[in-house]
Amino acid sequence: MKDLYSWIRRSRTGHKAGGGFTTLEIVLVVGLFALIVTTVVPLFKNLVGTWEAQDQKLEAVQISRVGLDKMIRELKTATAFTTAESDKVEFKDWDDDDIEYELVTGVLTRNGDAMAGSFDSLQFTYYDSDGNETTDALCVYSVKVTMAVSDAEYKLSEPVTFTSRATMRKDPTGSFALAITEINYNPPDFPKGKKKTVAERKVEWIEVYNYGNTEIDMEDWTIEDLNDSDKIKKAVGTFIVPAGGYGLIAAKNHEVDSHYTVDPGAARLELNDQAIGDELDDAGDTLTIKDADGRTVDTVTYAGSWSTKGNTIERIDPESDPSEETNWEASDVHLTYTPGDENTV
Amino acid sequence: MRNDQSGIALILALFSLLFVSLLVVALVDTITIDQQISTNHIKDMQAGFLADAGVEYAVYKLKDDNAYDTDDNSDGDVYPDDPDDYDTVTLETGSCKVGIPVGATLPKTVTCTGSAGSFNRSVQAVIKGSGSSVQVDTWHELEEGV
Repeated sequence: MKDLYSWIRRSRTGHKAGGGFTTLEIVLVVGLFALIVTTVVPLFKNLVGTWEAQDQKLEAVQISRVGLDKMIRELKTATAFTTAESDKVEFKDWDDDDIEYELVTGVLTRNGDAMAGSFDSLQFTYYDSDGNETTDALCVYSVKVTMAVSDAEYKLSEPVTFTSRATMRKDPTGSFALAITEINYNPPDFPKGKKKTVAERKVEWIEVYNYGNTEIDMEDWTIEDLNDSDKIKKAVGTFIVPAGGYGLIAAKNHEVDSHYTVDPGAARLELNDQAIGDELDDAGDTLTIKDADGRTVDTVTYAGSWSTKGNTIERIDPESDPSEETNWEASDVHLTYTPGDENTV
Repeated sequence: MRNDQSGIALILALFSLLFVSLLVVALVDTITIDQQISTNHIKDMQAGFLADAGVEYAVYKLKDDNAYDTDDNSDGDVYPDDPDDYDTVTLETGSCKVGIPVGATLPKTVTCTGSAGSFNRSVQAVIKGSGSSVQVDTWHELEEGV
């Protein structure tokens, strides 16, 4: 500083003019201010701009998070998907309401109403029951959502992306309103000759009920238990289960009719195998019915204790959870067997 | 007296330059910290979503097969003692390690750790139900990642 003073003084002595500031001083000061104005002030403004952009970005991120959260929550309650596109999803929720999420010009909309924005992209990826990606809405079991929060507005180099996933809590039932309503997994020992009894697999049967409004063609449908799967290949007359009607499924070469009276109105369906699955396990089994495209329509996991030998189990409500014991009731087939007819419970 | 005042304007100008520079430095510092906070916040959120995605993956697997587990049977260790005994789900923003214990039936306690960058978030969920009717019974976040 001392050097500076003396330097300024020295420069001053060169001037005879007696003003408050020397010319050199004024030039330096003006120069410094020019430096401040031209470099520091724009830098300052720029920084404040970045700060504000950062704030806005965070706000956009928060809004997106809320949007994604809500969407994921709703997707979990889906019972059936109707549209499965990469930027649009439509499904029925637990209450059977139609819900649609779509990205419209950067804004996430729910049933047409703007919900969150803005996004550079919104991508749905769908998975079927086998873990493969699918675009068939009826096969969707799980959905992955990826969204990139738009940075165009805030001019930030790195877009923020969020991904999450939702799995439907309820199994998609496809478009078929068909339920397994009665299972005869532990039939009585029907005598055959003097000492023998009829093999269980020949007299086991499953009753299905069409609770929808349209008829269902069950040709090539699949019946699976835990160990084997068979296809419905033969029918007496027709493969069609009418709306509000019943179907009776039994194994190939079955002897159901010799021991039970089947309602004549029921569709009579036969598998391409001598047993339903590997024979329905008396101790408990999982029975799954799949449509011709391999989509699960209904599945029941029963325990042997749900009924006793000679009795069937009957479902109280075809649309209830099929794997809850309380939705089934044992039926005494000797007195009130009801294959292919309205259940007694 | 006039001699004493000489150069005062320059000094003032230099001080104001210093002041403005300090202001800028402080601002840069604040912004940098702010940026770090928001980046961390975003990574944390991403990790949270990934952990949730892991739970959904577990639900998905267990719906398909109640007996599903992530235990690697080829070695002697049984889940969760072995770091290999996890399924890794990779998504766009990171990955999630999902641990499902051995057992034929539900309920099962699954542990999912979502990782986005250096950020981890772990959740533990009890999944109950039977057959393909499966729900998350309880859910809580763990203090530390696995």
